[in-house]
Amino acid sequence: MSVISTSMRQKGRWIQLWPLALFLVIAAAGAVWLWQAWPQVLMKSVLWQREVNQQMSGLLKAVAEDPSKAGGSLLIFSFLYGVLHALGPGHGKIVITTWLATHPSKLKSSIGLTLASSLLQGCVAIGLVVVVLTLLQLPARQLHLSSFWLEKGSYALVGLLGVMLCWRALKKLIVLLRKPKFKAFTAHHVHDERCGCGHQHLPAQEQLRGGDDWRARLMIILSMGMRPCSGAIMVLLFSKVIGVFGWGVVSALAMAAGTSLTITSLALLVHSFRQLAVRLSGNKAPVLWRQVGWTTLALAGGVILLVAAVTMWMSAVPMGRGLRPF
Amino acid sequence: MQIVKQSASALFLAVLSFAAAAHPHSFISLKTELVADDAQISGLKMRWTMDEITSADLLYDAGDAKPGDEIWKKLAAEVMANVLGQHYFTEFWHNGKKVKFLNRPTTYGMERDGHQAVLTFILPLAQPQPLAGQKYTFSTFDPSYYVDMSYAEDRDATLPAALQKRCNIAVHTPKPSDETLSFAIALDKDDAPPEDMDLGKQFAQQVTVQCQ
Repeated sequence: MSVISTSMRQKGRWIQLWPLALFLVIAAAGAVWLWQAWPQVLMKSVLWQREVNQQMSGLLKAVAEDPSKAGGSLLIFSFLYGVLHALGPGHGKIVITTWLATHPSKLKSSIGLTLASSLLQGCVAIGLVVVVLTLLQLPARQLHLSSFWLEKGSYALVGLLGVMLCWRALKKLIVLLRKPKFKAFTAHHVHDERCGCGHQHLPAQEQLRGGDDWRARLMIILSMGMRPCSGAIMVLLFSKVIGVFGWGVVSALAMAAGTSLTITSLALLVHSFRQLAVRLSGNKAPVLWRQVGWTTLALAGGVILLVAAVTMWMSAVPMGRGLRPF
Repeated sequence: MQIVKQSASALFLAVLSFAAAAHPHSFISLKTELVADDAQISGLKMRWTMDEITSADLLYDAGDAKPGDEIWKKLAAEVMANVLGQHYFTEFWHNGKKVKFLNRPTTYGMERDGHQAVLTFILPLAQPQPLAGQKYTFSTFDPSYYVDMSYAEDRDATLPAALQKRCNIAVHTPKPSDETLSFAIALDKDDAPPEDMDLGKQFAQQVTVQCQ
């Protein structure tokens, strides 16, 4: 009897994997298509980009003439621009995917992270333009220099976050590996409400998550949001030149909203894949083994962020490349 | 079911992000006229018009300065220095060999055209080249493809009036089906020089001048 039920459960588990199989098939088909159509895809993307660029300046000019007519279109267009522009590779996506893939987190707090960082990114762009051009009355060149240093700063934060995650994971690993030796079999053992059954359990996921996680979360938000989007700065600058800075601000915020949509979808995706992985790994492995496994994964996350930060810091292009065409 | 939806959207995102990874951020439309006397080409007279959003950068600094003001000269010098740092973003070929340029432009300047900044300059060849019976090819492009530089119309590359009967000028725009643009093919060619693999070069238009 028990044999049958086990085999059925086993079968059920494989059936549950069908979304993954479907995903792999679609991904393979997509990769083949992409390989063959690559030149066309590139060509199309260039043409679109040129049109998007012209459309954006055209809409801002139209708003300057008659806000009631073009204002709505500008908002929608800026939102879509944000959605599409966030699709490219970026350091924010590395941070959020690494964090969510390697650390346990609640769905709500993950969404909070992406929303807060996108909003911060929009506000940084607006704040930078207001401070540099309006308050300090500096030339546009200074805008790019400050933007470049903010970029460097955000990479430094990514590195710091990586170091912090590594440090935490290492500490946890040491505790995990030591604990059974001297805690569980200690003779002088003070009893409290947490050790009812006579031995110390390993810390639960909840406990591992810890109360000081706000520090990691704050660093994630700052490192993702501190670097202003160059597209938003360009739009703000152009709107200032043609005298509709207020609309430029509105457009930058709409872009931030669009960006948050893309990043949040990505975060949801990673989050659900992690949940799936946690479910599939089940409870079969011994507790200690599992804890060590997850903590090692967290350590890997820290290392990935550290390596990514160093790479991005080294390859950040100083000035010139930013907005100036040369 | 939710996972299926998410998987599908992930694929969509992945495909799009590849396309988005290699796109230009600035657009310059080119206009070029050959500089030549009866017998020889001595250079290229170029006019680069930047897109409005890129131009905002320069126009903000220019404010409402009049043409010929000091600030325009400063901006022109700044941009020109960057252009020279990239060898005018131009390659000029004759009989399979690169023709050298002088290190400094003959003249250069910057002006405003509506909401667009326009850079004009004359690119001088190091040695004037003979015209009779010769064929020349040149391209202007940013190898990194951060900036898209292109002739919007074929007639944007022109000959001086005196040469229009003797010579012929044509702009060739590579199409995605062209072998030059095919990454799948290019990746198999180990002997291709690395600079030929640059994205900017793959998209670069070629101007051909053929004289009798």
